[in-house]
Amino acid sequence: MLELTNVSAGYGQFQALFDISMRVESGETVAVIGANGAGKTTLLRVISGLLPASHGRMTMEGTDLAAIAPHRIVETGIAHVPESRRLFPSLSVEENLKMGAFMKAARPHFHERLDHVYELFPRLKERRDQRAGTLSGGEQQMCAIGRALMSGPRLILLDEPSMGLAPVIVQQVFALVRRIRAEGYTVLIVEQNVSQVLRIADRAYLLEVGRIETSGTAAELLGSDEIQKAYMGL
Amino acid sequence: MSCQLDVFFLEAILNGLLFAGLLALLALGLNLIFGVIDVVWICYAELVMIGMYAVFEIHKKLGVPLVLTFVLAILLVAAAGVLLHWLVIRPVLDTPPINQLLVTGGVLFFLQAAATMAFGVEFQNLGVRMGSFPVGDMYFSMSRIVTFGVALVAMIALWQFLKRTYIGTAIRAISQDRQIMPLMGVDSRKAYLVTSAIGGGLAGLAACLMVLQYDIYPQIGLQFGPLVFMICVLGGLGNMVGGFVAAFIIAQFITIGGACFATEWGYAVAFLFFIIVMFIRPQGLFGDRT
Repeated sequence: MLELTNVSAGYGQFQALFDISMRVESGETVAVIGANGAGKTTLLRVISGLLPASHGRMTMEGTDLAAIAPHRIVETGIAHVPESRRLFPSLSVEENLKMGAFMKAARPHFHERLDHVYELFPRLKERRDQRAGTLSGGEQQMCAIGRALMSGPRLILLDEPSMGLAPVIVQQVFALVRRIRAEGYTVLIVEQNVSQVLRIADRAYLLEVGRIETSGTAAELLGSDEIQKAYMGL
Repeated sequence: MSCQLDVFFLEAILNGLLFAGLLALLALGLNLIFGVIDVVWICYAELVMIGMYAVFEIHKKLGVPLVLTFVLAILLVAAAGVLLHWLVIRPVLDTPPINQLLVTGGVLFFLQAAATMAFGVEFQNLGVRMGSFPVGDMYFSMSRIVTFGVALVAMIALWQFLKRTYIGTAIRAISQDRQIMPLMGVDSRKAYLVTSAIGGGLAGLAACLMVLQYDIYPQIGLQFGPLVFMICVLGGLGNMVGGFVAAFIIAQFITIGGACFATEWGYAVAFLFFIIVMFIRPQGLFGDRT
C-alpha cells in the first residue's frame, strides 16, 4: 500500500532521516518505535507532505507522493493524526470533524461518516457543540482520530497518540487504536511507549538517529533482549 | 452644547448606534484579514477610498445605474484585495510583522498619491439625498439608517458563511493552526486569496455605503483608517466579535463626546479611552493574544 524507498529528509542543514526504506501492506498495523529525537515524527511528516523529502521515492498505492502538492496527499487515502493532536481549539468538536471532511471527495459522505465517528466515539456526540479546546486529553485524541476518519482514509498515520496523557487514559487510547484496527483501517503508528505499541502492532521498525536499525514482526521485537533493555527498561 | 439627558442627548446616542454599524463593518474586514492571514492591511481605508471613487466615476461619469454601480464597485475592490495579496502580501508573508506593516503602509501612501493624481484634491459628492426619518422630536438621516441596516445584514451573512461552508470553516481554522492545514486537504494559499477577496469586498461595500453620507477625497482614508485600526486593536486584533463590540463603544464615545462638547472632543476622548485600555489590557478588551 505505502512504500518508501531510500527516503532522506531534514530541516535546513540538519538531516533527520537517512535512506529510509519501508512498506505498509493493506490491513496491517505497523509500528515505528525509537527514542525521542530518532526521527519518528519527521518520518510521518514526510509521508503526509508537511515536510518535503530531500531524496528517495514514496508511493501510496502506486501514486508518487512527491509529485503532488501537500494538501492533495490526503486525497490518496492517507490521514495523519499529528503529534499532540493539533485540534482547532476554538472550533466546536463537530467543526473539527467537518474540517476532516474538507476535501471535495469527502463532502458527500459527511453525514454518514459523522454518524460512524459518533458511533465509534459516543462521547464526541455528547460534546459535539463544545469547543475542542475544552475537551480532556483522551477526548481530544478521540476527536483527532475522528477528524482523520472523516476523510475516508485507507491508511491512518498516528503520531504518539499516548503522549502527554495520564496512564489510565493511555490505556484507553491504545484501546481506541485497537478499535480502529478492528474496523479494517491500515495503521502506521509511531510511539515511544514501546511495550504497549508492540502488543497491538503486526510489525515494527526500530528507528535510531534517523536510520532504520532493525525491523520484524512485533513478537520478534518484543522478544528481543536489546529492545527490552534499551526501550522497555527491563 | 450641554450634556443634559434631553432629546438631543438621546438623538446623539441613537446616531452613535447607527454610526457604529458602519465602523463595525469596516473593522470586520480588517479583523478578518488579520485573523486569517496574520497581516494588517494598514491601507484598508484606502481600499475604501478607491471604492468610493469607483462608485463616483462609474455612476457619475459613465451613467451606470446606482445599484449596478454598487455591485461593480464591490467586485472591483474585491479584485483589488486579491491583487494586494498577490502582489504585496505574499512576498512578505514570512517576514517580520514590522516589514508587513511598512509595506502595506507604503501601499497606503501610494494609493493616496495615485488617487490625488487621478482625481484631484477637490471634494466630490455623489449627490444622493435620502432625506431624514423623524421620530418624535428627533431626526435620523435615512442614509445612516440604510447604512446601519446593510452593514448588519452583511455581517450576519459573513458570519453564516464562516459558520456553515467548508471554506468558511477552514478560514476560521487557519488562524488557529496554520501548519496542519495541508493535512485537512486545505490549500492555504487559496484560502488566503478567498479571504483577501472577501476583505476587499467588505471594503467595497463600506465604500458604497459611505458615498451616501460622505464627500469623496483622496485623504478620506486618514479620517477612518486610524479609527478602524483602533477599534480592531481595542476589540482584540483578529477577534471579529470583539471588533463589533468595540465599534459600538467607540462610536458612543465619539457621539456623546461630540454632543457634550464638540465633535473633535469626541474623537479625543475616544482615543484617550483607547490609550488607557492599552495600558490595562494590551491584548484588547476581548483579545486572547498579546
